[in-house]
Amino acid sequence: MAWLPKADVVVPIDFSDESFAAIDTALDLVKTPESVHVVHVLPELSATEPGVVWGEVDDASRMDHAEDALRAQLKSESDTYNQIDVAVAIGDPGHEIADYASNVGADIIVLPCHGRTGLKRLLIGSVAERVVRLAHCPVLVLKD
Amino acid sequence: MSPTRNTNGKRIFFGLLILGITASLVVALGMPSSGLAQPAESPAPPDSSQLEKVSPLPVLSDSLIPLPVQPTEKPAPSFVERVDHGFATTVDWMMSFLFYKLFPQPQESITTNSRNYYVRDADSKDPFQGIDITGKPTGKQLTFKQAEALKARGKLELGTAGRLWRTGVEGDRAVEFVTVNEDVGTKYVLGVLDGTTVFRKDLEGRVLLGTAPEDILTLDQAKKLASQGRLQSDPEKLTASGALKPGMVNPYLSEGVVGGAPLVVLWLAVGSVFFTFYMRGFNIWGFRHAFQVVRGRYDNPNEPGEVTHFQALSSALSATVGLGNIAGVTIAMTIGGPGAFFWMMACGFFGMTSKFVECTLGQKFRTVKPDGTILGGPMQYLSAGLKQLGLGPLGSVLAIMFSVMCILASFGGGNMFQANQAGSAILFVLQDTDRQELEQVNQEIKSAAVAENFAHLDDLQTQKQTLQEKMDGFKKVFVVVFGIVLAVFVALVIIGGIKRIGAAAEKIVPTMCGIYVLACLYVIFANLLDVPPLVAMIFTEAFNPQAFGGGLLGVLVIGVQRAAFSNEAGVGSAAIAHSAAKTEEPVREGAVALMGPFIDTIVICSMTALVILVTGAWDNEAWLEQGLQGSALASRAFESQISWFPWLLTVAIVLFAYSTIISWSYYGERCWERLFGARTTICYKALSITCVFIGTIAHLGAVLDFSDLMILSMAFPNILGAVLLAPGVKRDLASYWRRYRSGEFKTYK
Repeated sequence: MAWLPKADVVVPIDFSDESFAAIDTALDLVKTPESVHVVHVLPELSATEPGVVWGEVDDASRMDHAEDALRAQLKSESDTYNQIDVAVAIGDPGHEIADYASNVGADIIVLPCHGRTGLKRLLIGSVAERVVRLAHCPVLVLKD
Repeated sequence: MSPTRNTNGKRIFFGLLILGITASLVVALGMPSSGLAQPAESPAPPDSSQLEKVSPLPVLSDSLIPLPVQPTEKPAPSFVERVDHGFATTVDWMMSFLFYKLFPQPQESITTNSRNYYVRDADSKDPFQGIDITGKPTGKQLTFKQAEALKARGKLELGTAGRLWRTGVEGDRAVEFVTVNEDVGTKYVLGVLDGTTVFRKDLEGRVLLGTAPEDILTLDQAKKLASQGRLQSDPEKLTASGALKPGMVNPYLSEGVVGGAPLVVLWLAVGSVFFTFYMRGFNIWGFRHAFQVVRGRYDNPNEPGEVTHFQALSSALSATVGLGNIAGVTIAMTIGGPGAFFWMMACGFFGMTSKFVECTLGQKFRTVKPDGTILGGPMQYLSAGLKQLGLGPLGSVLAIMFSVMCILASFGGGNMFQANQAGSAILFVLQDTDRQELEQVNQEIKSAAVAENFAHLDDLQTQKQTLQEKMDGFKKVFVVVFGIVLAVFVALVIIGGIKRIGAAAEKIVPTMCGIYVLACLYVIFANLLDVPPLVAMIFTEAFNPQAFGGGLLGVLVIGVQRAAFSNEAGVGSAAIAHSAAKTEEPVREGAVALMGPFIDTIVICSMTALVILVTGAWDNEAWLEQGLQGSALASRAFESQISWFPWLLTVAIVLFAYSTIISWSYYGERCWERLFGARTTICYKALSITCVFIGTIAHLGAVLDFSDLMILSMAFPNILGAVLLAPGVKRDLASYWRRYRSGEFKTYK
């Protein structure tokens, strides 16, 4: 990617291999790994979940868990990933990713396209499509 | 490696118990129906006559008697009826496959279809003239006012848009006609009573057939009804156009089968007995340990998971303790009698091991998501577990099957059925005074009719009509209001995410259970002297049911089916809740789970059953004749002992129903997540709330049947997978128990 170096790049992570692979593309775009911001978006938790009913699980504890899990995963993937900025948000992935990108003043968002088909696509739609629609910055969608 | 070391005494006791129960099971299932008909040594049961077969079958009429008027219009089915019809087709299909009845008994019956016809020329304003079956005038007239009164009593077959008459043809003449239903749909079963071939009335909701003189039709009476076209022709013997199929005779005698054991009930029963044998009775020797775990002795807050063992058990119980424990058990007692109690307890006892196996598997193959929350249950262990055994494709199919069935069950038995029954329970208490008044008026009408006091009779009829209209009007408004209120309360929790309401509803379940059990104990102790003969009856009726015609198998099936509906052991649903427990030892949570059927069935269901038996409600002709059944009958039984208790019972029923809806929506949501991903659960939630409303307002017979069947059907994929994975569970149990015995586990309390 012989593009102009970017100051800040956002990579949404859903713990899939494709999403971690997108980090490498992002690292190519920046000067230092600190400029890569990975974000994981959790769905809203159902109030009927036993942990919620008994007050054992809340959004703060979930975000802590997810952040730890994300850091641990990054650490196991590669040492260069250690310096990457990590964030967790809760809500609709399209909106949250776009919001996060504008909060960190990202120049570009890099994300893979899972290429869901059939019923799941009809119900979920494509996260990539929503990000493209909602983001205030350019979006780089990686194809398999 | 003997987990049962030092427990030889227990083992022998247990072995004998198992042997006894299995032997009776085998005898029950292996016994041909003719064997039940002639109990060789035992004294002749009082009602054995209804088991005697009549041969050759009496011919009531060779041909079909044409009706005097043929309708030319058919009211279009309403939307609800159309939906219901669609489900009825599915239910029929499922019935013939999943609920295939093994060992059924043949039964011949007739069903009344007694209607009176009144006709007038098309487009005339004359009063309607009565005609008999051949079309001859009877000389009776029907005025508009009389027809209105009959309509109010639900006696008319209505035309399009609720009109009093329908259009039709009488011979070549176009007519408008009114059909007055005199006696439609009463079933009489063919049998021998005191050496005579007779038809005996099928008492609704009971296996018992009528013996009172008014419940009996002689052969001649039946033939007369047939010759007058006052019996329903058997649809099996008719072609699509309504003519008699070639080769078919005797169109008014239905030759069907009754009783028998549905495949899925046997599947559940055999599964739970197998697990109990295979785990060497862990439900007995693991019970003490299970109790310690629930008390929090081994709770390590740092292990992965969401909730403590006690909390997981409470959550699972809030889904299982519901109307099945009150309404379902009462139905089991009225239909199956005291013998069904024994089989219910047996089902609860063996179900404990099914629950242990499925919840251990739920823990073993759960997924801890990045945010620390859990996704576990049959949909996980069927796919992941069977993949480990090299049965990946089978696992995927079973997991999808389970998920689909669980979603549908969560809409039906876990939602619409609960909403519907909760609404009925409140309505029952609110209309208590009106209903008693109506009963009073009915009595007066009967005595006025006997005394031929026609002036007074007219007054009373008007009074009854007004009262009935008032009650119906109130019901119409009430169900809509209640449906909206309940749907809003469910929506607040599952869509609005108001945690406190959901939490309060679930947490109050154990308290309500406690209060309910205390009230039951009070009733039982107040009637303590009746208990010893009752206990004797439970055992004799369980193995040698005399008062009931369904035979041993019938009583067994009723007991097992109702208990399985209630405790859900083998169904797999509870494994979803139990997999959320904080532990690294799957067997430990499995042990906790086996307390579920114990509390649900052996404690709570048995309390309901004993109250129904000890108060005599199961056999109280007066109450049953009033049409009381299920929770209404339970309410009446309590009322006879504690006058204010129906109110508390209603509160309990509504809370049980609400918490069951919330908990089952969690199960359904997890399965939805497994199929369609976490982001789309809002679709599931919206459907769920719609179901709450529909369930309350509509009387959707087949939809409810369908969704109830779904709960039991979940056992097919679940038990199949669990049996394949059982060797792994057995190894885990042995290893766990060895470590437990050697004191390896750290205690925290």
